[in-house]
Amino acid sequence: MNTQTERTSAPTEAKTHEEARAAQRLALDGRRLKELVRAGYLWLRQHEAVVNSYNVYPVPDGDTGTNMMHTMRSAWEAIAKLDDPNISVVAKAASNGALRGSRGNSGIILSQLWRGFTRSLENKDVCDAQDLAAAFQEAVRTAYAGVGMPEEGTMLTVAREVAEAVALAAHHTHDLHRLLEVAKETAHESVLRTPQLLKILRDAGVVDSGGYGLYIILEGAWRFANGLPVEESTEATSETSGLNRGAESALQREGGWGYDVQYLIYARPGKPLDVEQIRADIEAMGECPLVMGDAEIVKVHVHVPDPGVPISYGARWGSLRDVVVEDMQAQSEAFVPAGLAKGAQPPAEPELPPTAVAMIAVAHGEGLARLFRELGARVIVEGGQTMNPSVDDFLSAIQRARAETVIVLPNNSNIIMTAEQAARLSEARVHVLPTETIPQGVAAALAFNAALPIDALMEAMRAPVAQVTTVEITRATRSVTLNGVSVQAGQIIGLVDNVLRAAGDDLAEVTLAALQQAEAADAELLTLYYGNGLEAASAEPITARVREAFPKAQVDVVFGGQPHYYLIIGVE
Amino acid sequence: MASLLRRTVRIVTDSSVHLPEDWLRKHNVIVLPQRVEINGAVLREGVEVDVAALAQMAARAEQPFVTHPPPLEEFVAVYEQLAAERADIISIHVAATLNQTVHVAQQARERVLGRTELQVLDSRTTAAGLGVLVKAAVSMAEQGMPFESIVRHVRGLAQNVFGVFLSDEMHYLERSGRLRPAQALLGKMLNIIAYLVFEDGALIAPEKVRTLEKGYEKIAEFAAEFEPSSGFYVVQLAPQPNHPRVRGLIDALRELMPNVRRVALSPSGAALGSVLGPSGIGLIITAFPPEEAAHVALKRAM
Repeated sequence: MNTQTERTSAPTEAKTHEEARAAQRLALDGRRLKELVRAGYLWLRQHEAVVNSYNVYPVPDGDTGTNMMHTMRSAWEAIAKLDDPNISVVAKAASNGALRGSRGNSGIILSQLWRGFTRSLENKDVCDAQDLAAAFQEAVRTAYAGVGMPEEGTMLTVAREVAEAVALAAHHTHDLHRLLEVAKETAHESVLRTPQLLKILRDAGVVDSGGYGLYIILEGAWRFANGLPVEESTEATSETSGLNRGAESALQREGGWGYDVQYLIYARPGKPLDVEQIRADIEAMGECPLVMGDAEIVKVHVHVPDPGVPISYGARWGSLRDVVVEDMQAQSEAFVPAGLAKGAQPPAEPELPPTAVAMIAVAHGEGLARLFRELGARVIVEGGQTMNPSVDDFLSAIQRARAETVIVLPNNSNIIMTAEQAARLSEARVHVLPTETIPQGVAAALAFNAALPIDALMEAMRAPVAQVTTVEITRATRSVTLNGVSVQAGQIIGLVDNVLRAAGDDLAEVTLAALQQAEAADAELLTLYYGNGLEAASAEPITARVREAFPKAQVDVVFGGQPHYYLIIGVE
Repeated sequence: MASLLRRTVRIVTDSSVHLPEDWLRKHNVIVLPQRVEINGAVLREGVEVDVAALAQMAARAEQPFVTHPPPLEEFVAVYEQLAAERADIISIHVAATLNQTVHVAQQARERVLGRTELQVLDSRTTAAGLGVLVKAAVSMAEQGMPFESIVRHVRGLAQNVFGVFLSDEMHYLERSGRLRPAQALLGKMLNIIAYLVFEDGALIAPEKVRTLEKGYEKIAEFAAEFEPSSGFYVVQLAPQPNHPRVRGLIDALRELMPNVRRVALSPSGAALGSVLGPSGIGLIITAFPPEEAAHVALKRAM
């Protein structure tokens, strides 16, 4: 599109709000983009817990919402102090922020979307409908290219369908607000379709959390463009308050969207559920509505000021199960100190002398961090309680390692992409050994030997990883049936190589069942890392049972101090 | 008299050799005792303390025992005496990577310089490996081989002696200071077993294993590279045939190498023992049939 013509024909000195708003509908500049990013970020921050609740596995870490929120926050922080009318400048800064602040696989994909979006807008002062459509498409291309084996039914699908719909719509309208609406609507529909594309989502009874997060970001931007509030607090920027005049203030509820309500409706005999009707009613009730299912079972999810309303509504249709009500205000408040603690600089570490080869390991928990240090890790990347480390965390760790060649052990499947992203950005030679669990990381770290040439070393470290099976014991964050294992929220669950395999109420029983699934009976070595509140004394009875059940194996018990997981067990 | 014209070659070694007393006396081999520091006392290996007693003491000792080389004066006295007897001297000792014996011997050599031919050799091994080299040197000397040839051949044989060991006694590994500081940290939290090898004269710990079984397997895999007729010696501070670790290692070896004729037991001696700890175990391998060492050396020379 000819931006030159656009600019000369567009009114550059708007005399009235109406003219300014009309201009905003045709061309997006840097300042406007900045506001949209902020809106997307704030809206996502509010819905963090909801997005988290759609993790396929009911495990309490690696939360998509948290990871995406931090990625968007980093994008926003990179432009918060920027006042530039040039869209390419603002997009580039936001993209860099997203890239460096990205956490988790969903955050990485989000940052890739940003990267493509920005690349497409390079050298542009403002962006019109055609430019926006092109930028969305480039964003999707970049994100697909950045993922090794793109899977449909994920965030990528949602992004792609959005880009396609926006491209189509751009043939018919120059109105950017309209395009944003198309994007938001398409994202919503696309998210609802994700369970049809991906069996694991269907089995778990959730939609794709990353796709949902993307929808929330777009919805936030759309809300802002339409003068709707994007945060519960009363403090609003001058721009928003200006735009809010005359907006549908009816939507502004006292106290914001206080409760996150989820439940399943089971149809009563002879009384099939009307999904469309339920969806229409729930959508009228509150924010972030998500209704899916069939005549037999419908899953409902909505944010409301009064949780009683959707619950009694649902009860009229059928019997309710797995009702979850969460106070989102409390959650978002609870988050703040953690975020601050994370931002606070740790006491300055003495600078390390330069070295040829260094190992960096990701470890959550005091014991695990110490263990990896003992195994020769030069720098430990520690994550918070619920969030994964960011690209920036890795970059600064790589810098601290002061080595020509750095080997990174991510030790978590949701951190591998982040480490790889950092490897691409770093000036040092960085090799990521894609360890998915702590026991895999320990096995690799044991083979670390700085005297070996790097290729031989990587090979030596990679080989033992395949010999380890990992069992993880934690508490389910919600009820679900997966792989034939039924679990109620709050029960103990056992995962074998990240797949749900056992559930129950007794820690020792679940541990033994999961170990059976991991074929511990034939194992030579079982290493139990205890954490999540377990101490040497409280772990003892469980480890005694393990020794008894698997007499052939050597059983090593190690203090891990990891959050969330009572036990992480390496089976070798 | 012929004996006045023709110089003899005498072999000097240290107590790391662990060859039978009778044999040593019969072949005029001079053995200087390593000093073992344990429980505040300094004892001469093979004189005031033998390996069995050392193993018992080490089990009760609070601190790991350490070894010191025989003192300079003892070396000088032995060298001067042999020089006076008009003997040329080949002094073969425990690997320089294990303790300072070779270094002290070289200092002593300075004192007798010009009075006799004297070569100090770093065996780059110890225990049975050192024993095989000493036996070969004695045999070549008794066959009247020239001094330089014996030196060259012993050096050649030393290149073909190997050693692989396991130790989970981190305080010994750490105290011995033979491991790099970063590696010394090993095993505080996990039960880690260091897998050590003699490589280019140095004892290094390139790998770690988590179970003894895995360690035995690694040693057996290393051994399987050699001919069944090679020399295989299971070493431990004071090895007993029915010790579970001795059995475990031999079983692993037999499983991978059913054709091995003979696996002998050899005390590791104080020098290696102070690195591996009393329970540390390993295998010393000569790439040639040990009883034919001298013969092999001669054949290679031709």
